[in-house]
Amino acid sequence: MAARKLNDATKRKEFEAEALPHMDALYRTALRLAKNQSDAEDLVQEAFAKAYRFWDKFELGSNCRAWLFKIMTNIFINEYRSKSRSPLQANIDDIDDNYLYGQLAGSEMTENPEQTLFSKLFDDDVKKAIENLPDDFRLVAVLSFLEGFSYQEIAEIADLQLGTVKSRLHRGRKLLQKQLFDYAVKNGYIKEKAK
Amino acid sequence: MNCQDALELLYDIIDKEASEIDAKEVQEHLESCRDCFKIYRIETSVQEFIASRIKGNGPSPQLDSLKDKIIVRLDRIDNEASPGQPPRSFGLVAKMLVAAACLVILIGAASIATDYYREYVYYTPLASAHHAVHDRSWNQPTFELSPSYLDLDFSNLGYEQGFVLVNSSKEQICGVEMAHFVFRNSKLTVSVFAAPSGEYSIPEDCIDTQLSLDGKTFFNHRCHDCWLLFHEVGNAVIIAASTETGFDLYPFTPTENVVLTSSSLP
Repeated sequence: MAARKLNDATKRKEFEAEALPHMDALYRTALRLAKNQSDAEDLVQEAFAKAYRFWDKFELGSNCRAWLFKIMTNIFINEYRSKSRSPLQANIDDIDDNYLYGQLAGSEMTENPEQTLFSKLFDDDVKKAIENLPDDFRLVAVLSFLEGFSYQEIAEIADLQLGTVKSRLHRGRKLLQKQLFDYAVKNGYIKEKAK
Repeated sequence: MNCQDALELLYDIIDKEASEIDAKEVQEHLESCRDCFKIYRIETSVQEFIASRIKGNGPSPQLDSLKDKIIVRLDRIDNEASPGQPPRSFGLVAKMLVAAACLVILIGAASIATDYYREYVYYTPLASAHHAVHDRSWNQPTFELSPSYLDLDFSNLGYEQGFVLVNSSKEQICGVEMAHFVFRNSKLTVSVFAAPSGEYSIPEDCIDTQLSLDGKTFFNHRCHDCWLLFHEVGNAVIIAASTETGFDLYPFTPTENVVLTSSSLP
């Protein structure tokens, strides 16, 4: 890992041009990870401070966005991740693959039942469902769904094996779908399939 | 392509990770299979829906003030780095308990840059690897690692505290291939990493935190909420890790007396 030699003025100028423009993206991900505005702001600030200290290690021309997300993810895992186990986690394996399909296909609805479901759900319902995911699943889900990182990029950012990224993403999806469906049933938006 | 193949590729297709050939074959299958087509349709629209909803509505008004705060942080870092200013010590833990003995460890105040560097390069990957196994339940142990990986026996570590070896695997950590053994009792998970000492050396600045016990020399480090204990035995560097900071990692340090038999790992 060869450090580039930079004087202070160049370093600052490069950093403001290359790294700072990614603040919006880092913040929206931080909000979904940390779940509240104040922690999200702290997380982004810590990430930028750390990135700035390491700026001479950053290879100019390589993927700055992924590099910044890796730094922020590291801080999140080490300092913000809650130690308590989410109550959702225990039940993941009970959810079938294609859960939503199984539910919707049997509900008394028309050609596109999913459209009926979506039209009833609000942004906040979806955000809450994401926030309810256990940290490990939420991290990969946010990096994929919100930021559009590829499996390989997520593996590098979160320091995970490719297979682990895929399985966490898969389980995260199942959990999300179940929550959204249960929520819709509870609020009477759709009827549960007869058992 | 049959239904099972098509459904296995479902999320690869949705996430645009499938190869062109796979994507084409799935497409052909969907044209002739109404059931799979429905599943794909629902899953795709759920995905689009979720992605569109979590993005929210445009930039938030807090962003300008956040940018100002970041600029202030950068200014502060620039000032710290100027010559003539003494380096600020970066919150290292200065005391720890090991076994029954209470030992005071002196930690030199290293420069900020070095602290960050070693956090990032030497310690954080180990802590992350431990975190990754920490929350898992281990109903079904899987053992991926060949027991002959290192000439040491790991299976009995922590036995007196009720720990059992629940998993082991090989992982790339800190740029080195390491064995990662996972131990669990009713409450806690402990990771033990091992690497040939020729490939991974204990970071030099760790020597600040040296202590000796029963003729063995240990190096300790606290990496955020993960506790790491380094030592060298035989031809290996052994690193024990736990997220429980009040917990004694000493039983997870194998000695030369523990000899490997090739049957000691299932």
